[in-house]
Amino acid sequence: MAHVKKLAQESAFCKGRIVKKYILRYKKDILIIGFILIFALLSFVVLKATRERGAFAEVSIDGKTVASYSLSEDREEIFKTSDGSYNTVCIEKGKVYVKEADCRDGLCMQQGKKSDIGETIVCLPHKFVVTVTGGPQ
Amino acid sequence: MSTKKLTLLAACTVVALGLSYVESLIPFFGGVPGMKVGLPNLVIFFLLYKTSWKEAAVVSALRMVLTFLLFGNFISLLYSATGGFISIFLMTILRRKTKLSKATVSIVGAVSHNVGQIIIAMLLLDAWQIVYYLPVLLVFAVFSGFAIGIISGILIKRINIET
Repeated sequence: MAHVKKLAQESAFCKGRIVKKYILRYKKDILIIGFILIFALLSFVVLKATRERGAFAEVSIDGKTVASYSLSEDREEIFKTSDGSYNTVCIEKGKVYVKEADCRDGLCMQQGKKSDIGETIVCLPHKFVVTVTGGPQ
Repeated sequence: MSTKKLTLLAACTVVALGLSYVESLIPFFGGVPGMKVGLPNLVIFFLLYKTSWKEAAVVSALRMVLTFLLFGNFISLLYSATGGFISIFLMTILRRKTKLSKATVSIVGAVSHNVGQIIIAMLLLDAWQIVYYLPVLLVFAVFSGFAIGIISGILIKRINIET
């Protein structure tokens, strides 16, 4: 019994040493990964903290602003791009979302409802961006 | 270039192309448009360690052009090209100048890929607000980069190529 106990103690000792060895060996790796994660967390906190509830939704196609709507009014607008494709923007209960689109991936519809300043809905295939802003521009 | 190498690169391009198709079948998640695991990077990373950055860059570029010709649009080509070359550049430097593990090099590659894409998206769409995606993308890149690095590490150890 004593023998088994000693063996267990030894293996635990070895385990601790192996873990320590690994930490020493991958010290720089752990530092780099930790740095990236901390940076992500910090940027998340900073971006979250500076965020405010928006009042307007701005629609831009190909980098040019084409429309701006107040979020306090419910509405539905269809935007056609030059090549005939479309995105339907819907404002409901102070939130804006893309209701319908004929883009190939449909990601703009899956991005959900947005209401904070700086939040965006992006439709890459149509170069179509909805941005929530604080005031009309 | 030897025939053997030519064949190897051709095979790698096909595998990368196949992986990018498989990847397009994985449904969108996480609230960021175009977020991907980066499966084709398995091949790129493998080549980066087995041969050199030149081969990795060539296969990466071919993969992007072929994806663009087969099912992409020009904008997504721009995004992946920027991200791809920034990450290959950084990974090459880390591989040569440091003794970091493959997983970490892969993580740095994934993170720089995403940062590059965010910067190019901000320039192209002229909307700085895209930076709001950064935290989610960074965390996701750490996980996906780790997975890709580990799997590539196994491939690098097991697959023997003589060039």
